[in-house]
Amino acid sequence: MQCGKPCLLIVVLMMILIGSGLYLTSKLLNPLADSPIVTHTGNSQSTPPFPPIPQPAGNLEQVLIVQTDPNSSCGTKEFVFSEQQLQALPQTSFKTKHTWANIAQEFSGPLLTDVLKQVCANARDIYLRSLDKYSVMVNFQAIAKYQPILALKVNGQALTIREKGPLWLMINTDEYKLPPRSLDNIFVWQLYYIRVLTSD
Amino acid sequence: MLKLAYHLRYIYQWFLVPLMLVLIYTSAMNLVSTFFLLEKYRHETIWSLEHLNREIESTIHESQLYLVKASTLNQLRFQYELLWSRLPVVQSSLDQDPNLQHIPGLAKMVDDIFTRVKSMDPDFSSEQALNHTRLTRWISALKHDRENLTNFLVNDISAGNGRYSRAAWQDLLKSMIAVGLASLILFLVVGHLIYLLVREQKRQRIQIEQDSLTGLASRDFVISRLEALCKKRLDFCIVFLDLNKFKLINDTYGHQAGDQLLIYVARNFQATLTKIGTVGRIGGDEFIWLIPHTDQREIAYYYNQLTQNLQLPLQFGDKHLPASLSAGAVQASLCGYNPSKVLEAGDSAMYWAKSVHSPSIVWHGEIQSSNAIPATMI
Repeated sequence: MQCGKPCLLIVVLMMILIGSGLYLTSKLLNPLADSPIVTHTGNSQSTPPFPPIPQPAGNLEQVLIVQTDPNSSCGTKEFVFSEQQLQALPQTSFKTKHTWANIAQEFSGPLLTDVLKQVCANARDIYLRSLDKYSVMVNFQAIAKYQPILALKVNGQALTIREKGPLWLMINTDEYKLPPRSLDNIFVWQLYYIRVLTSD
Repeated sequence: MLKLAYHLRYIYQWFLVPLMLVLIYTSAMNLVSTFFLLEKYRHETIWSLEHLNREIESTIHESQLYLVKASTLNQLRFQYELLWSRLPVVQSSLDQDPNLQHIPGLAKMVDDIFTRVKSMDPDFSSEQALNHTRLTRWISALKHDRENLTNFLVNDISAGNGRYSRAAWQDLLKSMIAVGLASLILFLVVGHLIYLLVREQKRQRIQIEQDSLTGLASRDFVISRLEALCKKRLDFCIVFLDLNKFKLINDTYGHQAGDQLLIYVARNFQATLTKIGTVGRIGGDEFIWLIPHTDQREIAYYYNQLTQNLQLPLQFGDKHLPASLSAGAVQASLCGYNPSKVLEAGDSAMYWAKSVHSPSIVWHGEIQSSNAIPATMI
């Protein structure tokens, strides 16, 4: 069959269509794929065991409790961070938009990596728990590349419990161009407890 | 102007369909992303209101424990802080989710809860012990708020036919209409293109099957009909028709006169012969009349009608052009349904008719039975 220019045109157009279709589909529907980052979320008090909420709340000597699971390669360890200890670590700050504010906010605090290094350097799966009993299991190695921080301050103001403090796990979603709302599950606010479940 | 029309046609033919495909794709993607955005809004809304609800309940519980001295003031304060921390989350949910604005009364109720929660702030931030009467009254008001909130959650937000779902459906419907419209346009364009194609095909077929001068069937068409009938072994007759002295008319009066004569004859064919068969022009002044049956009397009847009609000469300018025909016929079954033999036999019968100036149709069988070849053919 004789078919010169028009056929070529159709082939090129179809290729452009298919190519742009694939690109746009992956771009628009990216967060739909099963996230390898979050392994479990829940409010259940049963799994895994966690210490009771420290009293009184807002105790500066006991802001964050980090424990390791006996099954992890780091053995059983516990480290209680005071606000001062967290402030003494290298501080990172960035400005980013997020789901719970209309405008970008500036977050500052120590890197989660630095905090975990004090207890168990090669943590893989970690369990995060907040004061309002929200909990999430996160593959730390999957999010380490996004440099998550434990924000102590937002817009220069120290976080109180009312403002989702004392610690708020946050990632610079703007810098890493993460799709909006894709990682909302792991942005734990009122964070007070981290348990390293497995490590390399 | 013509060039512009040509370009527009080109764009229409080659670009509109891909363009519509792109449009359908983007509107479908828009539909999908709208759906998931709405799902996320719904999830966040239910999540934030449900958590507010839970913190209110916990605060009521903690206050009751405090009232019976089963809990400390610090524990109650801590619970109060947690309750307070839910307020901005609910507020941001209300700000972001456009569908929540379709629920009348929700914003006011949330406002009431905020005011209620904040009204106890001075009591909790002071160092003194709480006023039990004030706390009791606050708790009962909170209980009322919680019931309101649960009502909204159950009836308006989570319910499949609630206001929230209906508002979300409206949004989805808008996206669906875009997909539907784009598909409709695509179907229309494709339909129109197919129509153009069919029309063009028809035009070309007519060009192939018709003789352009006389409007009779073309040689190809008649021959293919003949071959098809032979293949099916359906008996039929063909009559070879030849204009007498056509060359003379052509040479004397010019080609235009010849053409006019051909058209005149063809018109007469169409008035008589085509009633029982097809007439095709196979050469300059040669025609084949193909009749799909073998009733020789009927064929003779129509041929007579034709010759009677043709006794009236063609008026060309101030001249009268006479049109007379020689006709030789053959029955296909007598030639063993061999197309070339049929044509050959018809042709020879026609020559016979011409040589003897026969006014009627000469049948091929008649030549063979007479077994004589006219002197003019030798």
